[in-house]
Formats: sequence, structure tokens, C-alpha cells
Amino acid sequence: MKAMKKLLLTTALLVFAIQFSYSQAYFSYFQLRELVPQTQSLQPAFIPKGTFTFGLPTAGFLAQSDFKLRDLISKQSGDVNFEVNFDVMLAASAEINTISTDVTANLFHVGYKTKNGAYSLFANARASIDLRYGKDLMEFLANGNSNRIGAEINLSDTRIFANTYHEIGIGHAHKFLEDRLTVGARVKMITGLFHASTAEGASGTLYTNEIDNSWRVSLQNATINTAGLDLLMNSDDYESNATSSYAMSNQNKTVAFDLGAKFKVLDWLTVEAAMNDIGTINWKEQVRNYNTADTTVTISGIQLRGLENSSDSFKDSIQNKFRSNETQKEFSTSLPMKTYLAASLFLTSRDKFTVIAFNNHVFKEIDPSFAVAYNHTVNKFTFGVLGSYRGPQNEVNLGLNLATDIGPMQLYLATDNMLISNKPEQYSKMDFRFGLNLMFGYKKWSSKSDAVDLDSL
Amino acid sequence: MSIKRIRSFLLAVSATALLVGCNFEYFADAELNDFVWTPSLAIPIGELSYTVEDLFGELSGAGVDIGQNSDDVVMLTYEAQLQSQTATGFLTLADQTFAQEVDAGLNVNTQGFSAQFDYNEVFEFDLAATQNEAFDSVRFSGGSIDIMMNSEIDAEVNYTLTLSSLIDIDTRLPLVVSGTLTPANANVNLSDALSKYVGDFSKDKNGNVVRNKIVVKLDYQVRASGNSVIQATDGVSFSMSLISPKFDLVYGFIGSRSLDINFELLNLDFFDSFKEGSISFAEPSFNFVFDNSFGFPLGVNFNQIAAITQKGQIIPLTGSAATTPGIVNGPLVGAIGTSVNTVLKLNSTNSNIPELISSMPKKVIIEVNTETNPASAPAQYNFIGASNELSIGVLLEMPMIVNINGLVSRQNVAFDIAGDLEQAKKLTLRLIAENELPLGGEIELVFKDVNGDAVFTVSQRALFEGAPVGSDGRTTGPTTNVVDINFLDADIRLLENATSIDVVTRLTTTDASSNQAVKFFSDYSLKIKLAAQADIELNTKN
Repeated sequence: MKAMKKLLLTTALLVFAIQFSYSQAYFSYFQLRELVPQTQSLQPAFIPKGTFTFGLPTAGFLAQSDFKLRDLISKQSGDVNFEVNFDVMLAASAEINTISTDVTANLFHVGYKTKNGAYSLFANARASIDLRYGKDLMEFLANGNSNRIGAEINLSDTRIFANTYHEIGIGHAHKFLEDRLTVGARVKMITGLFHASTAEGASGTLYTNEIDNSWRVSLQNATINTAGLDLLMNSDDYESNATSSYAMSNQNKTVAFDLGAKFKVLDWLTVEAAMNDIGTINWKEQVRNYNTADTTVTISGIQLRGLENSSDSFKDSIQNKFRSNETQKEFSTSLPMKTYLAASLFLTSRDKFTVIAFNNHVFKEIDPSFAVAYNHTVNKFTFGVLGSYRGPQNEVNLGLNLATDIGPMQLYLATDNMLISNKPEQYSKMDFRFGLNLMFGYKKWSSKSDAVDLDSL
Repeated sequence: MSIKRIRSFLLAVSATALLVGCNFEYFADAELNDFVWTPSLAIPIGELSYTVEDLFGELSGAGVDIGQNSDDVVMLTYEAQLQSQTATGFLTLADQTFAQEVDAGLNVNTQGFSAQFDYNEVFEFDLAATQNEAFDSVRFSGGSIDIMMNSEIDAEVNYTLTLSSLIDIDTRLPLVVSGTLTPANANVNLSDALSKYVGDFSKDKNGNVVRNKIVVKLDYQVRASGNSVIQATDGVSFSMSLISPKFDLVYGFIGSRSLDINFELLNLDFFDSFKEGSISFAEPSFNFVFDNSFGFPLGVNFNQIAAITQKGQIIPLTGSAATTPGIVNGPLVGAIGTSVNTVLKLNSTNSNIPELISSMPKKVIIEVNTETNPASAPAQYNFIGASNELSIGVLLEMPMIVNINGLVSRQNVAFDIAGDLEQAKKLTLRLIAENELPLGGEIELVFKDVNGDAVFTVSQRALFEGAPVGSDGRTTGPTTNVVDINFLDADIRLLENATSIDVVTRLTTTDASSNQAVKFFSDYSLKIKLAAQADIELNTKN
């Protein structure tokens, strides 16, 4: 009966998970939990098993979109070569589409476990680009506006948020309620390096008049805020060490937090929640704002009589309708906050099913993706498989995670799409986390129930 | 299923997945093709905005000015100078010769002593008039006066000839000639420049006011010697001639003189661009503009005015203007040096000018005759100066109150965007006409190659419709017409060979079929918006 309940609950969570999906996540990496101390960046309430952990520098990356690789670089039938074809990309587009990349380099991680919790000191370099666009944009790129004469093309769904920063911080997790509740927090000093984003509330529409094809363009909050990019694009204007000096220290600083909690509801059920990257960067240095004033203009061509240089006149006519400028006003952006919610069902002390929900709040939307994972732990290693689903326009990904404890050395790897090497063109997500840790005192905290039962394998 | 079996199954799945291996066949030997972008764009191109003045602006190249009259109706005007007539064309002074012989009435035959006899006499002569001219005075600018004195008397004769009608300009005194004639030198010839004198022919010898009179006084003294032999019929004679006289200014009466304006051909090139159809001007006027600084009126007869159509047909001027002389006034004597402007208007009330102009003539023949001091003009004291002039111009005024029916205009314009069409695969050119004019237009486009051969034709179609006309003569509101011209890929490929376009426009005014003339007010406009919907192909390779 108990096993039946577990199965029903698991099934319900799985069905629920499949109903919703979008966004990006390091699901498999999340599953390594207490085994890999760096997962504290996903869930601060994780307490590593080793007394002392020293993480060697490592990196992880993730790239995902709402179209498959073969949609981005497609092939015509019978053609061996690739092409970039907007028509193919349009066919693969949903009403709202996202493209995300994330690169995280863990520069160092030092962890120390106590009887009731753990402490950590860490430094990361992080970069991410998130692009969100509506189907209208892709349709415009693919087909132009001829199919939308007398109708509006809404470009308001288009957003970009690109962020590069480094962080250094300390973390602490503590157990309460006879170890049933674990609460963790990390405080990070963040230094923003490079940034580009559309302003809050930016919107734009294009209406093509059904009679004279004139364009009515409406823009609101059409501003792109950047920081640090001028150093990259106009490096000749700066001294040779300006970029490195800026990267080491600048005024784009803030304090951010990661918060997490884990609660053992029943002996076989644990729920947990984490909210990471809570904070706002005030971009003050190397700031450029590219602004176009709120306006609704009608582009109806030019007076053709007596015209000598039509292309210049056309360009000037359009430019004169918009009031654009470049400013250097400081601005604030929230860090792309990420939320994990998970429920783990322990079939045995070494076997557990987990349902995970993840949401990336980069565009301040609730747009979660989900995964169902199974992990098994044996004496020297933990491995798990995972299925994740982001939506009807994306494939189901099968992930894998593995962590070993060979003496004081720990190897780990995790991917949400372990089949990526087999016909990668059919996938829309690729991620990989790999690292090496030095861990000491692992067995000090191991309970007898965690002892390997070789006979059961 | 036991947990063990589930675990074993998952382990097997994981192992299988890992062992599936790598398959990068999709990427094998593949390269990235050039990026080809094939959108279909609907774009506005722009607007062609015409006022009535702009629409007929082509005519300005043929000498037509485009303006508006006091009713704000657009007016086409064509102005040309026909002829300028100088004073010498009207008047030349004829040579004049006057002579008189006077018998002394002496009867002397070697009387043996000296004797002295004095005589004086005043003579009047009339200037010879050829055309009833009657001069009061003439200020000469050239010519000479030749005087010859002769004596038949066998004695010394001292003479004084006073020409009262020739007044020295500087001294204001008459010309006086004196000298002595002897039997040995019985003749004396004298000459003087006329430009030194003013001829005053306005008084007779008694001081009465007359015209054309020359008064000469002769005084002479006969000094007979002791052996002089003089008969009663012996006397003294004189003659004087005005040779090649030229004038600066003449007062009096010029008489009745005629002057034929040379046969003029007025080229009206501005109708050349209209090859077919008709245009009827309701209120054209053909104005002859005279600027006259001569001090006398002129009668003007339009001997012949006729239009020669594009096809060579001759339409003569008829109506009262063709038969009734017009009067051109001249300045009064108190306004010497000024001109009087007189306009003689030929219009629908006095001629068939509307018929002539509506024939879209290529040329107009003009032959005009003028007559000084016509009987129908009020009497006027005449003067004529050497610098006076009569200039004659024509001003053709054509208010755009017209009936146009199927008027065809053909223009060839350069087509130099053929190279830009390479990326276009399909094109729909849309023309949206918003027309306030009471004029409709159909258009046909013939694209031609460098040899002038047609490579593609856009058949005739209505481009804009004439606006309806209200009771006040103005259009009641604009009409809107939308025309789509479709070019398929094959058509566009043909256009790539085109270098010029014959634009054939057929124009018809509102209700033209009912012979209704409509007014083109200066504030009317025709706007043609151009838009395109084009399937294009952009290739990074190109």
C-alpha cells in the first residue's frame, strides 16, 4: 500500500510536470546535491558530505532554445550542406520562444561541514544570454510583412538580457528540527562586467496599412542599456590595461543572496525550495543607453518629385521620424533569479525519485520547466538518470549524472541531455557540468544506513 | 516490479544510452551555404504630389507661363514679341528745294556815274507734303542746307538772305547768309549742316500761325558804276535745298501713313506633346500688346490671323475683331518720352479665338496693318521723335476652363533602375491616386530597350478618376483610385533590359462627353502614392 501511494504520487507529479515546461535548468547537476558541494549554487541548503572540500576550478555550460539544432542549421532535401533558413526556424517557432546560454566558471570552492550545518567560501565567473522573441518576429524575418498587411506585427515579446559578472561569497546551511529542516543562505559580492538588455516595458509594433502599405511603428520604452561593451567594441579609445582593470574592479557592484530550504516531510518524502541570485546590480560605470523616444510614427515614403538620391532621402526620412540619442545614465537590473522546487521520494535509503520544477525569472515571468529523476547511491558513487521536458515544441531530454568518491578525490559530471552526441541536430538543449573536488572526512558523517549493501546490487 | 528490477532496468537504460555512441553524420562533409533571404516586403515608396501648375509644367519648357487669374483659375500664358517699329519706319523727311528770282527793275546804260539801289523782299515757300503731313517744327539731326545766290546784274550786289524758318539752336537766331556778287563772280554757293538748326514752319511772313511754311527774307543793294549796263529784267535769284534731312523731333501732323507688320509665324510648341484627343478652351484670349511712344494714334487692322493645326489645317480668324480696326493711342505732347500701352484683345466675344486655340495649333500666322491718325481715332497733336518706338507683342491667355476628351500625351522617360531589379522575384506596384482635379487619367507604360523596341507593356488602365464638379464650378471632393500592376518573375527579367519608358497618358475631364468645360483652380492637387509588395531574394554571395 505504501509503495502504491509512492507510485501514484510519483505519477501525479510527473503528469503535472509534463503540463508545464519552458526555461533552462541544470537538472542533472541539481541531482548531485550533497555529493557535490558546488551544487550549493543551485540549492544553498545542500550540506556536503565531506568535512572539508576544496573544489578545483571548473566550468559548466548550457545552451538551449526552442528550436532544434537542425532548425538553426537546416538542410534542403538532397543537399549535404547547411543553410540558415528563416522559414525552417519559423516552422519550429512557438508563440513565444527563448534562447538561453549560460556559462559558469567555478574559480574556487572551499567547504567545511559541521555537525549541524556547513560553511562555504566560493568565487564564480558567470555569463548568460537570454533572448526571448515572439513568433511575429520570426515570421517577419522569414516572410517579411506581406502576409500581415492590414494587421499588426507585435515585436513587444522581444527581449534580450545578457549579463557577465563575477561573484565571491560565503554560504552557510544549518539544520533544525532534529535535522528535518535545513535552511541555507549565501551572500555574494557581485561585480558586474558586461551587460546588455532591453529596458523594462520595451515594446514595439508594426502595422502595415492595407491600402498604401505605409508602416505605422509604435515604440515604447525603446531603450537598450549596456555596460562595459564600449570597452570591447571601441578598445582603441582606451588604454591597453583599461579592460583588465575594469574587469578586476569597477563601480558596478552589489550584494546578492541565494536562499534555500529543505524539509523532510516524511521519512520517504523531502521537499525543498531554492531561490538564487536575489539582487540588483546598479550599473554605474561604462554605461551606455541607446534610447529612442516613445513615439508612434507613420512611414509613408518620401516625396518623389524632384528626387535625386532616393535611397539617402528614404533613409533620412525614416531617421528624422525617430528621436534617438545615446546617454550614459546609470541603471539597475535585477539578477536573473532562478527558482528550484523539488520533491524527493525515497524508495529506499539509496534510491529516490525526484520531481523538480525550475523557473528562470530573467524576464520576470513564471515559465517553469520540469524534470523527473531517479538516483541510486552505492558506496563509491552516485548515479542517476533524468527526464526533462520543457514544452510541446521541445523534445524530452534524457539526462545523466554521476559522482564518485575515490579516496579524497571526487569526480563528477552531469548533463541534462546525455544523448547529445548521437545526432545532436535533433536536440535543442546541450549542457554539461564536470569537475574535480578534493574531499576529506566523507565517512565521518555517513550513517550506518548509508553503508553499501553489496548483496542488494 | 521490484525496486531491484527497476534499478537494474534504469542501469541498463543508462548504459545503453551511453553506449549508443556518437553520430555526427549530419555534419559530415557539410559546409554552410550562402545565406539567402527571401522575404516578401510590403513597403511604401512615396508620393507624387502635383498641383495643376505642376501637371502642366511640361508646357513651361515650350514657353508657357503658368499662373492664375483673379478667380484663382489656373492660367496658361504665352508671350511673344512680334516686331518693334522705329521712327524712321514711319517718317522720312523728303529733300526740299526752294528757289526765287527777283528782277531789280533797273534800266541803266553807262550813265557815267555811280548809283546805289536798295531792295528787300520776303518770300514764303511750302514744304512739299506727300501724305498730308503738316509740320510745325523739325529739330534736325542730319542733312544739309545748300544755298546758291546768283546775280544777273552788271554791278556789284551786296545781299543778305535771312532764313527765318531755320533757327540756330545755340543763338536762337535765324540763319543769315550775306555776301557780294559781282559780274565776275555772279554765283555763290553756300552749305551748312542742318543739325545746327531747328526748322520752324509754323508762321507765315506775317506771323500768322500756319504749317509747312518756310519764310525767307532777301535784302540786297545794287551798286551801279558809271559804265554798268543794267536792263529791267536783270535781277538776283537764290535757291536753297534741304538735302537728306534727318530729324530728332518733329511736331505737327504726321499725316496718314500705313505700316505693315511683317508676316509672322508664331510657333506654339506647347501643344506638340498632345497627339490625340481634343482640348477646348472656353475663354482663351489673344492679346496684342502695343507700347507706343509716338505722339499719334494708330489704327490697327488684323489683316490675317489664322491657326495652322498639327495636321496642316488652316483656320482663319473671324468675327468683328477681324474687320474692325483697333485704336492704339500715343502719348500727348506733354508726355514726350513716355509710352502708352494699349491691349487689343481677341476673345470669344469678338472672334473665333476659342476655335483657333482649341485646334491645338502648331503655328499661328499673324499679319497686322497699322495706320497713323486713323479717322476713327480722336484728333491728336502729333510728334515723332527719332527714338520713339512702337513695339508689338502678343499675349495668349488660356484660363484652364477646358473640356478635355481623350487627350493623349506621350512622354519618354529614362528607366535606369534595371540593375536594381535583379533581387526582385515578384513585384506588385500599387498606385493610389487621390485626385481633386476634374480630370481623369488613364496610363499605359511601354518599357523599351536601348534600340527602342518594346520589351514589356503595362496595358492601359485608369490611374485616376476625375472629381465630380459642384454647382459652384469647384470639385465637390477628391476621388480615390487604386491600381495594382503585377510583375511576375519573367516580367521583371524583361524589365532588366529596359532603358526607357514611354508613358502614354490619356486625359479626360469630368463630364467631357457632354461638352462640359471645367475649371482648374490653382489649389487643386493630384496625389499619387506609390507602394510596392515585392518578393525579393538577398544572397550573401552577391
